[in-house]
Amino acid sequence: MGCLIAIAIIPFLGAEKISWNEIWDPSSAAHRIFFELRIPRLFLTLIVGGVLASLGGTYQILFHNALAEPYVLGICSAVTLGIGVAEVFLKVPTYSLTAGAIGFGFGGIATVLLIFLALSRVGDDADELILFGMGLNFVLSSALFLMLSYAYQHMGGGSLRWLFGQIPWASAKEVALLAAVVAPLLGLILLFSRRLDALAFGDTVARTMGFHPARARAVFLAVSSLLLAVVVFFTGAIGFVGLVIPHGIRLVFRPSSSRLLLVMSMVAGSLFLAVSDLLSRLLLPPFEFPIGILTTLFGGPVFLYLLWRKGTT
Amino acid sequence: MAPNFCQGTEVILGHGRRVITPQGLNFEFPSGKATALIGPNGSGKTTLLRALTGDPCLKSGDIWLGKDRASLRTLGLRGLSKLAAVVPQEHRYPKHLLLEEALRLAFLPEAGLLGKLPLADSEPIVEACKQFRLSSLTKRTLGELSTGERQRAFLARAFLQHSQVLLLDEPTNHLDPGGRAQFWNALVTIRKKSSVDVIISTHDLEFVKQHCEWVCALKSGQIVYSGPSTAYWESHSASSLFEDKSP
Repeated sequence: MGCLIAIAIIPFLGAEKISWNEIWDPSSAAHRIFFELRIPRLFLTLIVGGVLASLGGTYQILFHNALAEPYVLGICSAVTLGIGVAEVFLKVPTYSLTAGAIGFGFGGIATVLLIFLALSRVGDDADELILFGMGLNFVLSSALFLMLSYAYQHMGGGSLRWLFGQIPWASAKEVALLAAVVAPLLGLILLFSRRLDALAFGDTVARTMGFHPARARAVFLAVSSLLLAVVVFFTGAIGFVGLVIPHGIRLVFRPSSSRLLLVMSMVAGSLFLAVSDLLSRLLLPPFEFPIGILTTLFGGPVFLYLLWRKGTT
Repeated sequence: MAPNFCQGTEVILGHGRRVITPQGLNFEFPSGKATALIGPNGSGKTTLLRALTGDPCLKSGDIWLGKDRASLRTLGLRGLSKLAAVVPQEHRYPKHLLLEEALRLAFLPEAGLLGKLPLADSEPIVEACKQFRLSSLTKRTLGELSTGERQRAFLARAFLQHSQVLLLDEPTNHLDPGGRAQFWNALVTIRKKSSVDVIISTHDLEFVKQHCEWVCALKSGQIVYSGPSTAYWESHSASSLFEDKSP
């Protein structure tokens, strides 16, 4: 009941004040604002909100994952990419039939891919489908960012660049300082990595292995947060490296323990980022692509391929 | 009276505000005998076992464990690791970890943070693999093992910890009859070869009858029997403990 009242009140509120009497006069501006603008918009929000929430619920159950949400599979990025392509290359307005059709087409292709994957290659290991969706999501959205950042070069500056990640021209002194901070912290994580394995056996087992599980978790959280903060200060958020390198290492090398996984990931991540940065400078000089876009664009397909191959074996 | 490896007085267990054993448990388990905790689901078996691992579910009273009868209230976790090794009921595990690495982890308490773990082909690990019939599986990840193989792996890990007491919480719950037999065989072999004391909570009463010398029967948070196994089965039928007598 309260909800109905709230919904009934919403279209009366806004920048333009509207009274009950005014809206019934067809010649008044209030009438048009009410019936042609606010009512449709209200129903749009009602429908979209309902769809998003119920889809989230569906995905959470379907994928046994409390964090699943509607955008996790990459369909959203596909549609957005389609609309971006229509705008940038075909120069059509974003809310046109053409843009919608292309967006819908892109989304359709992504959906078909996912359904094909779900039916043919993935069992009920829902994690795999989510990983695939996340990979797809990353690739598509970075393609979109790539396009937009090139099309709107004049706009990307300041703290906006932290959003997609960037590699700044840092001085030797700054980098040495960064190394001095990072090295001991990474060392600490490697030192504790056996406990990472032990913790994964659950708290009861961890306790009988001679350490306090909650305290060990706190150490990991503190050290990792500090490390991340230092790195983000320099480069912003560089997508994909953290998700895909460890999974890729697992798929290809099957490291025996967390310690080995972490060491291998460290090396692979370093090389991967160095090469991506080189490409970001060489592709269209003097324009420098935001690094996060490139890491995703080049690493993503490799990752999807690895997942695909794993599904077939 | 034989010496005890585990004794509790006025043990009150609970999770948060929920008290499981309001009257307090008093028990003594004699050394050299396998003790079985039996009773219906929710009777407090798992909570009691968890208390023995230093879990904060021990609200009041005290429990002494091991040959030197160390009090769990004052014992540090480092000391506890030498006393108790555990195979919990809902066993979480890192599915990408190789089996041999999981077994190496058994030596983590001894090695500490900086120490080196013995190699996967070191004698105790190879020996344990043979004993638990895991030798051909060492290069598999835990996620690639069958449920039965994995349970044996967890038992092997706990055994390799060389603690004085093994705590097993319904270890054969999800196993098929073959897997169950293999698991129990592995356990019987361990007991023949080492002096480790064992406390098992289980619903597998046939195993209890054959291989456990001591029975502690729980019902609704109370110990209804604690004594020699043979005497228990003379006066109780297997199903009596599980009958619902509440109106």
